[in-house]
Amino acid sequence: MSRLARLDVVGLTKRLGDRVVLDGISLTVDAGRAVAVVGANGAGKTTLLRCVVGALIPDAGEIRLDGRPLRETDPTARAAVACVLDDVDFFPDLSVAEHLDLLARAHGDTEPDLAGVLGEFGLTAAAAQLPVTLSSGQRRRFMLASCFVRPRSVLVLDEPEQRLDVVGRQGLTKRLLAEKGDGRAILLATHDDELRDAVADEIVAIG
Amino acid sequence: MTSVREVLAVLRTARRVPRSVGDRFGDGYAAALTVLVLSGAAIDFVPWLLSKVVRPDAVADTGLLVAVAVGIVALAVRGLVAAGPVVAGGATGYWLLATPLDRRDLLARRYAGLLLGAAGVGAVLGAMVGLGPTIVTGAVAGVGLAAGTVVWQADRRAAWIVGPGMALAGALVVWPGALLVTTGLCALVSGVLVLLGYRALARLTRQALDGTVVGAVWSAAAWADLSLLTGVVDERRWLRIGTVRWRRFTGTGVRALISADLRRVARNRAAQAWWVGLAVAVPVVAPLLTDMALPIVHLIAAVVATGKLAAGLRSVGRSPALRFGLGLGDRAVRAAHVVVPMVGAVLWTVVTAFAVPLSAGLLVTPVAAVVVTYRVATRPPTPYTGLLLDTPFGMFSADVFAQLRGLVPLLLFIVMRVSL
Repeated sequence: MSRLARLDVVGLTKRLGDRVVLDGISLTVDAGRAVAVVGANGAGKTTLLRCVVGALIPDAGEIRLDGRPLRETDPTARAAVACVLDDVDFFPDLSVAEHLDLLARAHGDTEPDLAGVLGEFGLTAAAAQLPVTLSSGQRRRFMLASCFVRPRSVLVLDEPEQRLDVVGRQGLTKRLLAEKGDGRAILLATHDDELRDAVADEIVAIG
Repeated sequence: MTSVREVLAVLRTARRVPRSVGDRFGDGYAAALTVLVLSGAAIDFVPWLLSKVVRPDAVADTGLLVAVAVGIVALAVRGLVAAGPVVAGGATGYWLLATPLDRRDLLARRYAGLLLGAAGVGAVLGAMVGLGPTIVTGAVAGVGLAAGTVVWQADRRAAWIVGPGMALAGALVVWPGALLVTTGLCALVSGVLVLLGYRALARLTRQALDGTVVGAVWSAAAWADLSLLTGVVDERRWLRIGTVRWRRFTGTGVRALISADLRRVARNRAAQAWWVGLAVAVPVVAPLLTDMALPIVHLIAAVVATGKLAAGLRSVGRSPALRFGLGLGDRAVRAAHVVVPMVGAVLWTVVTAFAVPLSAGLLVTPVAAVVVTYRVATRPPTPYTGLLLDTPFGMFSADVFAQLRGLVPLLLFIVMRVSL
C-alpha cells in the first residue's frame, strides 16, 4: 500500500510552436482530495496532465510530489502515480488478466485481487482476451482497471468517463469517491458535469 | 448506369495537378533511370555475392537450385498473398467499392499493373541466371505467379492447388533441360492463370482488397522503420488468436517481468518456428557455404533468431507509457526484458556451434546477437516530423540512416567475427 501523497503544479507553462497552451498554471491536490480540470476542447487539459506525469516536458514551471520534483524516470514517482492518458500501450501478446497481474506484481503486490478488479470494471468475460480484440469501451475499462489493480497514492485521469455507459460512469464515480476516502489524491480532466460535481473538491478552469 | 471508365476519368480530372511536360518527362526519366540502375545493380551484384557465399561445386547442384527456386517461389507467394496482391483500400475502398460499379473493371488496371511489375521482377531474376532466354522465362513465370496469387486471394481454397502448383513450376523452371519447352509450358500455365485471375477480380471482397499491409510496406520503406510493417502483421496475428489461456505470473518486480517475457515466447509460435528453423537451416546449408561466408551467415542468423525472442523488449522499448506504468526504473524494465533473448542467443549459438569451425570468434556470435537485438528493439521512436525527400517513387525520410541503429554494431561484430 503506497503512503499518502500531495501533488503540486507550480507555474506550469507549455508552448506548442508559437502557441502558448498552458500559461503559468498552478494547482495543488492534497491527499484525499480531487481536483477537476475543465475547459473546452483544445484548452490544454490533456497537455497539462501529460506534463504532470512527465510524458511532456514543460517549458517552465515544476511538478512536485510531496514537495520534491516529480521525475518521470524516478521509480518512486512511477510507484506513486497511476494514470490513464491517451498514450496507453499494451503488450499485444498478454491477455487482459495477465496485464493486470503483471502490473500489480511489477509494483510488488504478490496477490492482486484480479477477480475483484475484473468484476468491478465488467471485464470478467474478457479476462482471457488479447488487448487487440477489445472494443473501445472495453479498452477504456481495461485502462481504468490497470490504475486500480496496483498500489498508488496519486491518480491522474484524462476524461476517464470517455466511452463508458451509464452504469460504467456510475461505477467510476463510486470508485473515485472510495479512492478519495482512502486518502488518494486525484487530478482529473473531465467533460462530465455529474462526475465532476460528485467527485471534485476543487475545479480549475483553463483555456 | 455510369461506367467505370467514366468514373475513373472524373477521378483523374479531379486529381490532375497542372504540370509542365518537362516536369512530367523529368519524373518519368528519373523513375525509369532508377529502375534500370537498380535492376542492373541487382543483376551484377547478386551473382557476384552468390559466388562469394556459395561454394562453386554447390552452384552446379540441381537439388540446391530446385530448393532455392522453391524457396523463392514460396516467399514470393507468401509475400504477395499477405499483401493482397490486388489492393483497393482507403478512399477507393470506401468511396468506389461500395458502389454498384463493376468490380472487375474497377480493378482491371491494378491487376494489369501487378502483372507488369511481376513480369519485370521475374525478368530481372531471370537475367541474374543469364542474359538470354531465361529473361523471358523469368518474366513469364513472374506473371503466372502473380496471377495465381490473385486466384488464391479470391478463394482461399484455391491455395491447396495454387501453392503446390507454383512450387512445382518453380522447380521445373530451374530443372536442367530444354529451356524452350520449360518456357512454353510456363507460358501456357501463366496464360490460364492470367485469365482465371481476371475472372477472380469480380469475386474479391472488400476485406480481401484491404491494402493495410501494402500501405505498411510503403510506410516502413519510407521511414526505414520495419516496425511499421511488423506492427500490422503482429496485430493481425493476435487478432486471429483472440483469446489465450491465462494464469498468474510468479514473483514480483523484475522476476514477474521475466516470467511474463517467458510466457510471451512460449505463446509466440512464429517466433519459436523462426528460432528452431534457423537452428536447423544453418547446419543444413553450412556445407554449401564458403569458409568466409559461413561464420557471417551464422552470426546474422543468430541475430535474427534472437530478435524473434525480443517482442517484450520491443514493447517496453517503444512505449514510455508502458515503462512508466510498470513502476520500476527504465533500466530495470529493459534489463528484465533482455534476459530471455540473452538466454536464447547463448542457447542458439551452443546448439548450432557444431556447424561452424570452432574458434574464439564463436564467442562473438551471442554477444552480437544480444547487442544488435537490444539496439534495434530500443530504437527511439521515428521522428515523423523530420525532413522528407520527394522522389518519383514517393516520399522518403531523410532520417533513414539515423534509424539504422543496429546496422553499425552488426557490421563491427561481423568484422570481429571473421578476424578472430
